[in-house]
Amino acid sequence: MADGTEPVDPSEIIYRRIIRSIKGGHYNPDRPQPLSHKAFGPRPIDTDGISFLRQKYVSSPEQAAAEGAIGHEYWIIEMLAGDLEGVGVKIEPAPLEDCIGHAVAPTINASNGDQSEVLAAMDRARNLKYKPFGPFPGKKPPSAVA
Amino acid sequence: MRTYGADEVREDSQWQSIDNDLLDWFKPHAPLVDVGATPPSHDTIRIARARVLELRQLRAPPPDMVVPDNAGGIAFEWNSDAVFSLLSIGRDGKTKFSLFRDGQFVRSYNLG
Repeated sequence: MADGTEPVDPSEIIYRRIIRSIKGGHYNPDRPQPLSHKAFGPRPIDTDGISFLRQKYVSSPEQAAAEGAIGHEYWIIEMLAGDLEGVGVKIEPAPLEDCIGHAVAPTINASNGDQSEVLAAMDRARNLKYKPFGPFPGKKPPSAVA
Repeated sequence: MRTYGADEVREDSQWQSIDNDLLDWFKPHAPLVDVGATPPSHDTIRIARARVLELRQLRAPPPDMVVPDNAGGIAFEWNSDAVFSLLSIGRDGKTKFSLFRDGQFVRSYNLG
């Protein structure tokens, strides 16, 4: 039985969860360039890498958004793991007790998010082919959000 | 007396809109950044507004977007077909301009 530790196959679909903001959102479908490079930017807690969800472990983009914090809405950006790997953003499994589909991209993390080469990788990532879904509500208490 | 063309009026209006958005960021940050992210401080927002004023006075084209990064900074982005220009204001208030072409880093300048 799969437990989230198996390597991420390049053909796998993965989700990037982006909080919906009225102002300054990292994803805004009304912009000519909807995705900011900061959609792939690390938070201080992303010491192991920015987070993704593996589609094989969630039933829908809506469920992927539900892994976000209650009281917020999230866009779900669907991408191909192999495309991200092709631009230097390799996705690795990082299952959590309450989210076995959790994965990370170690090459973009809390200690290097302002480095030029990493910013370039973020730019390449946001220019990849993707499919947006949502926004959908988050449902987890903030302390439980990966 | 210099008269403004339609483009200049539109761009100045865009700069004003950006400044209005930054003013909004002084309000509580709950919807602005995700859980675990660090919102821009009031000092960082003030620096960003000062940069907006400088660029506006220089009649620079407005950025395509101004967004918080997840680590307390603010990013101004200009996107064209192959070129991505980035003005970053870090959590420490330091400003850097970076240029990328076809997804590759070209050069950066520290602006203080």
